[in-house]
Amino acid sequence: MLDISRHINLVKNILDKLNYSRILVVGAGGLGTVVLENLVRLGFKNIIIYDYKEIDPPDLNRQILYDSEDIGKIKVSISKEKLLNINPLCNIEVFNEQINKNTNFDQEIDLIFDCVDNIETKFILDEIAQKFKIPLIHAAVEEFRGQITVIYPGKTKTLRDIFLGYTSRQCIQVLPPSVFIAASLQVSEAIKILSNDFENSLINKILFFDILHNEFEIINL
Amino acid sequence: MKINFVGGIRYLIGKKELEVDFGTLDDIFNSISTKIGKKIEFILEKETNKTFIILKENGKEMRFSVVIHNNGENILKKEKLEDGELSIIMPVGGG
Repeated sequence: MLDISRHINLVKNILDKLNYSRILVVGAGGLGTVVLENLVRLGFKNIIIYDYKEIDPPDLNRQILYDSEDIGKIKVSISKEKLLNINPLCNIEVFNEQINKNTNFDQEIDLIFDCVDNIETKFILDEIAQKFKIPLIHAAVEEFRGQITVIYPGKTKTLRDIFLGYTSRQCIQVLPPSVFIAASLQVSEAIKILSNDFENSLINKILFFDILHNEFEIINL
Repeated sequence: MKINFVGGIRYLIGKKELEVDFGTLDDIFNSISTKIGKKIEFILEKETNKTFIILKENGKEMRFSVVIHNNGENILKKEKLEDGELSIIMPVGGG
């Protein structure tokens, strides 16, 4: 069993949520693997993962759950295996498929992590979040930069409202620390949302960071 | 009107913010071009509903996908532009 004694006092108001919340992580790539490892080490027990890809050599610069022996293997299967090594008591459901707006879930989901790599799929997650009224923790990265916000149906604008007009590029360069920062901030937002700490969370705010210029800026939405 | 440059665009423009007279989007981008000493144009691709800026410098033309918020609202969701703040945001989209 995972020993969380080094942070238990910091999350004591959500201990029941660590045990019972069901967290959906879409994308087990750069953001996704860091989010997943953080979630499991924090003590979250019930995690659902969607990703349809296999592990390629360029993934290893930032996708921290994978190593050279995993090349060619299915991401969600390896993720599950590695996460269970950290905490064998986790319940991890994996789906080796692409999520779509008609995807249905057999049980209630408490939080969705947007860890996908293109704006079109991010908008699909936004639709799912609005349809089922589930908070969505958005992040994206490129080069030295990243952005994080929380979409909370009924309390915030939709992701589409914010980013309508944007088109994401393919095969971008990304510095691994940009990914680790964005994904870690996503997880810290999740803790605040589950704690109902809306004042300190990125609700109706978006954080942009640029680690080349050491800039962190929050703008109101 | 206050113009904010958010994300990587501020390093292309060389400014975080500036003030211009309120007008149409074309007027505003002309004023920005004058103030920064580089030609910057706004393009709305109607068939895709995508928004871009074109930056022309030293005979080179660079095209970037952006979102533009006017007083906190995406201009693609607004009927008309209002005086106040215009944020030209260059988001990122990778994962």
